[in-house]
Amino acid sequence: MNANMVKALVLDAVYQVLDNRVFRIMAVLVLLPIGLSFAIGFREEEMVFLFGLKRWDYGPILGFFTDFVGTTVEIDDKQGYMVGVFEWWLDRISSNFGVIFTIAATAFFVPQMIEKGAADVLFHKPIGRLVLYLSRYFTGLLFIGLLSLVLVGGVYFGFLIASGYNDPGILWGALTLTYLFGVIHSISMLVGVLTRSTVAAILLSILFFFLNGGLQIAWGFRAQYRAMVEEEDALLAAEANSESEELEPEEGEEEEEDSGFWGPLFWNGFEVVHCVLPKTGDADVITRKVRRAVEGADAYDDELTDFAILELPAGFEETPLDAFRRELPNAEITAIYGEPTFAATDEDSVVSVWRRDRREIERQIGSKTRYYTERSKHAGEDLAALLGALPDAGTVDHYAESMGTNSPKKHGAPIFMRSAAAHLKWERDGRYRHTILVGTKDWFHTIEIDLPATVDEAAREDLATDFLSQCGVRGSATASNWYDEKLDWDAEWRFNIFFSIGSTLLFTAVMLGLGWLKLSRIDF
Amino acid sequence: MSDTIISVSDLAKTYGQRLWKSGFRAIDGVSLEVGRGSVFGLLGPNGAGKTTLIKILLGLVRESEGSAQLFGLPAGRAGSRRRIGYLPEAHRLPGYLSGEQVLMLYGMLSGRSKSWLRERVPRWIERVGMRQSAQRKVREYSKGMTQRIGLAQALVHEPELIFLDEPTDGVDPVGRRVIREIVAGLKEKGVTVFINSHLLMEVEMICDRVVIMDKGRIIREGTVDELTPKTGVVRFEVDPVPSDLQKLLELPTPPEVDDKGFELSVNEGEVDAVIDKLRAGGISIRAIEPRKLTLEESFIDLVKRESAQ
Repeated sequence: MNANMVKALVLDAVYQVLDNRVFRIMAVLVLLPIGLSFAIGFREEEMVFLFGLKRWDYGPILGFFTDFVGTTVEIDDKQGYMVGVFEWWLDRISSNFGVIFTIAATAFFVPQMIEKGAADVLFHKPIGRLVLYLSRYFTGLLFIGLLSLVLVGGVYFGFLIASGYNDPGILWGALTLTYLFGVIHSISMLVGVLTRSTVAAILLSILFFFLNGGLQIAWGFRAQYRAMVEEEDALLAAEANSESEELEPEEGEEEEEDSGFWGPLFWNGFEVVHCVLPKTGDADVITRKVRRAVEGADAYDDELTDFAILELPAGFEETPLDAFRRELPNAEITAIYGEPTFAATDEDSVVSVWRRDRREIERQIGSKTRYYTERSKHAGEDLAALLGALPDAGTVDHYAESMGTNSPKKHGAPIFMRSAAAHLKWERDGRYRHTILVGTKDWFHTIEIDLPATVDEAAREDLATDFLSQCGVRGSATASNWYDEKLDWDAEWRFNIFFSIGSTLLFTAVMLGLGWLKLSRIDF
Repeated sequence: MSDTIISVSDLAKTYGQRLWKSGFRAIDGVSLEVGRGSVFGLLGPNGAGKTTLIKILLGLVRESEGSAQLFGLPAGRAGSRRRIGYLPEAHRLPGYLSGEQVLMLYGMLSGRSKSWLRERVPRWIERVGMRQSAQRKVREYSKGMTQRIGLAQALVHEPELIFLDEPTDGVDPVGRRVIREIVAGLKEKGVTVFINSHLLMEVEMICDRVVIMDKGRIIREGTVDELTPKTGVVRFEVDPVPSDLQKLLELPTPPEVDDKGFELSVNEGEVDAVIDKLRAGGISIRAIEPRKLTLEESFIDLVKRESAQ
């Protein structure tokens, strides 16, 4: 095989795809979101149509969306919220409808290639069947990759030009669609070579896509349920150990699914099926995690507590903790602050993060003593009392204000969950301090902004707003994102991204291998 | 045979063979050789196994038994396929391409460069009489036009061996003549042509050697002359045709007469005596021609005999 043959194969694919009606419809559909991103500008305070031809206030539109998602919180970053909604919509369209359209646009490749009459003309040429088969696969991949790139690239420039919103992260969306298409295209080609029918290739591939997605969701729920049960068992065992008692299951108390013959057979089969099948549902989570890995680490990421700082305020640089470490006024305040885990400084200002275990709080209600799991409210009250009791104590401004974005998603992923926080603003020894106390899982974080007392109030507020918008607690382990959180680069094999990608690629390779095997045995 | 290009030995192909069923034997122990520069004809009734034989040689169908070689390589190898051109029967060219694009694309798939093809494609388009329609999409072509472009596709990369499966199918008489001329031109250049056709007159006119197949086997092989033997009948064209021919020639039975002459079953030695008698009777002799079987007659005769067995 020489370069002319490769060129001819690519050229043939170009001619075929350009002649295909579904592909043309898809190209038009791709232009639709691009056009919208150029036509509608999401500015900080308003939405504009065609660069200012018409203007709308965010109020009614945001009202519609917040009612729709059932939230009543006030939206601070209106532009970010609307862009988030648009990106979420684009994400859904491309990862579900996108796959259907791309399969419909390329499913004809193989049936048309092996059609009676056409196959004779093509397969007598000095090109192996494997090369012809793979050329159809990779050409499809190339086309859809390019089309996805045009889609996300167009939307990126649309946001940049019409909204002044620069989010290069959106470009990663092309990877999700191409990855998904790569898997389903291999199935569509196999069905095409087995049935020689474009309609069968489209229908069976789409059916597989949805069934496989459903199985994966079911597996995720089961894994979550099992983790929950294991956690409870561990707790019970710990309690039993502490009481020096052996916790033995009573007769007939064994897990239902582990008894009998058919139960274990079914569930083990289910596990095997999950291992073997491609993990198409992981595509967007993996893309987000790849993106995070490639774009570099956040300014600070506490893996233990999921607390993170995306970017430091301008001029700030991370400082080694040994250089930062400072004496707090007394041991009680140190107990509330915890141990410093991160600090960054500019010329005369410091931002720092501290961590400690969440406490059990004792409160006297009348004559009774009540015990609570510590909340930011409790920590704030205690710290305010301790600061107020210091000699030469100044005014302590103490209030509650939640942290975290209220955008449903940013860049297609939940960034920070909304967390209750206690804020304390106080001055001592010529320094102004804004202390924020926020709980996460079993821990508590103290965030401190430390400035010279001479800095004016507006500058203090700007720094606090800027810094606090960049930090918070990443998404919580709710039913909907438990699996997303669990899937990681260094997780156990069942939740490991390398296993997810590896098993998916292996499945794709097996599908291609089977397709080639069948093709190599056809007598035209 | 010296400089053999195609060599087939005890070739057999069975379709649909499974453990539990014997399948259909499309080719049954075929052996043949084709030399360089010859025009080889493959004849046979429908289902005789002609197309299967060609497809095995091209690597489109796998043989069940025996061996087939092209240019000394096992049939189907890329090395041998690079040197061949093929016009399949009932082929389907990509409807989304124009005639010119078809030639460029398939020329490139045969390993030729774009620049090499740009020089030759217009010449082949002209040669097959498609200059006016070269830019139109193939899906707009008639059957004859598709056949012409298909033929050009088989030849554009200048192969050493060409397989033509029913090349004149759907082509008008002018087109057939063009195809005959092209084949003659190829033969002059030393290109080997392997033709499979039902049009026996075409085969008789252009082929050097012919193989007749039936039920998957070769039932006759030879040159066109060998397959069209003399019948022992001689035709005399005379002017005028005498009314008392039987008496003039002193024949026991009246000969077959038409308005231009007559036919007699005579051996070569008796022809002179017939001429003398005609001249003596004042009859002008316009032509004398020993009658041979046509390839068609020979073919039908062979196939009938094969069926009877």
